[in-house]
Amino acid sequence: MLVVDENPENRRAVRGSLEALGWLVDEAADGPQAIDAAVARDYAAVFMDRESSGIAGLRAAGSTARVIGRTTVDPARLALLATSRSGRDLVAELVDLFVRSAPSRAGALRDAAGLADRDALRFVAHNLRGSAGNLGADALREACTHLENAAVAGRWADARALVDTVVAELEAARDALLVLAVS
Amino acid sequence: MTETMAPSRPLNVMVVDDEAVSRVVLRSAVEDLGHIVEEATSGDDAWARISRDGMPDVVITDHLMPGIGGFELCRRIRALRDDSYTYVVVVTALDDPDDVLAGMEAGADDYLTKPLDPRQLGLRLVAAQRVTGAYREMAGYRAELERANGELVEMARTDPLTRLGNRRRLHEDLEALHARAMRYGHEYCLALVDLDSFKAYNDTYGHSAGDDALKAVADALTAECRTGDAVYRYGGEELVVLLSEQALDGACVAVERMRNAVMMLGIPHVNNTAGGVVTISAGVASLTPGAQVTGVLTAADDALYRAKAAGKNRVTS
Repeated sequence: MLVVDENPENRRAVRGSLEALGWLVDEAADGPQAIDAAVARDYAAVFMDRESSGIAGLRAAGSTARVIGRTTVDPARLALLATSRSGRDLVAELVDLFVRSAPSRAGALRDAAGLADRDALRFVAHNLRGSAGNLGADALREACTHLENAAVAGRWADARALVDTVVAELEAARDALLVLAVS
Repeated sequence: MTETMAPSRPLNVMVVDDEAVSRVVLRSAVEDLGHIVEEATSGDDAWARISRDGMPDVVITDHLMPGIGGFELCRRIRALRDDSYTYVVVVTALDDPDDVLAGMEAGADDYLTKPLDPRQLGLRLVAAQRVTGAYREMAGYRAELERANGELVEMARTDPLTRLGNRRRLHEDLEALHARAMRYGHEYCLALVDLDSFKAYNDTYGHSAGDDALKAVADALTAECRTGDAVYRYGGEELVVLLSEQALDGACVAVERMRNAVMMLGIPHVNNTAGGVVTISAGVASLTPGAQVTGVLTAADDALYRAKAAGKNRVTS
């Protein structure tokens, strides 16, 4: 796992969390360093504080490593869960629950938005927000919060657009969690 | 950090959330602290479990759920009055501070925010253990107090020498019997019993022997009672027998049997003018329609006087 962040304290924190999850970790301070590292070694994933800045460079240099943004999944949250007695087994169990429920939740969101069913949309969004928060999927959590508010307020145009955002974040979080949980 | 220490007494913790990831996170954290977890997948599920199996020590419930929500569940739990105390923690989103207040007003003891922090949960359960423990202790004191009160009530109505009910109990039982008899038109009789020449007995044999004789007579009368009848110490050497559901002639037969039983004890009493052994005289009266309790007692007393005047060791009505 490669951690890219210009702030050394942030790098250290993310590194600690990833190591708690069983990963071997390298660090890079910026885009060029990250590209050098990614060309030299194969990484399961590259962890970036600002996703957009480095991806193009990585791809241009021929790296196919998966890129995970810090807001997609915060590894600190997973590391906290891994301090439980069941440790990484708990993390694996939670990720499994989340991954397995992802398609039905995405479907439920689209159905509720399509039917303009306020309560259903609100509860599904709220429910997903809880899961996201527990797993450190912060971007998904935030998107769910916006969707929940739009549903409560009955702003249906916003809500339908937000469903797309939530589903996209849901898929991103699912992919990132699948990588992170199987070290 | 006491996080990994097993608690002295595990709490039964019900985790209520319609969202599976949160339930698993809570379950894991609660079990790590050495407590016992029961999961409920909704407020309705939680309420059904509580109604069926009784109250857990702690309920940790999500706020927003379809059906019975966390606050409503909290209100329902608080509406159940019980000796035990259920510690309720509501889980709200971090960005809903108003919800926390509403939850506390619904009767919650504390709150947690999502995403759940296992260490925060640990703190809540330490508080929960303290509070439920204090309530349990209070319930124990209350039970002890009730038991002691019951004992006092019993003591205050028992004659220590004969173990018979005393005059206070007689009056209570008599009032109850009388009220029942008046309401349903049933009959009952009352016998006033007196040991013959008892002062002479005490003078001859001493007060300790007098006590023994009184006890022996009390036991003999009790042994002759039917179920539902009762013997009381009225005072001094006077006893009362209450014969419920008994007409006067039947009661006289029963008391006559008692008189005979006492005589057959054969306790020597040389200065008894009615014979050489301990004997009793008895006056029997029955409830007369519309009579007062005191009327029955007076009638029995009059009958006893006649028994004495006629030579003792006899039953008069």
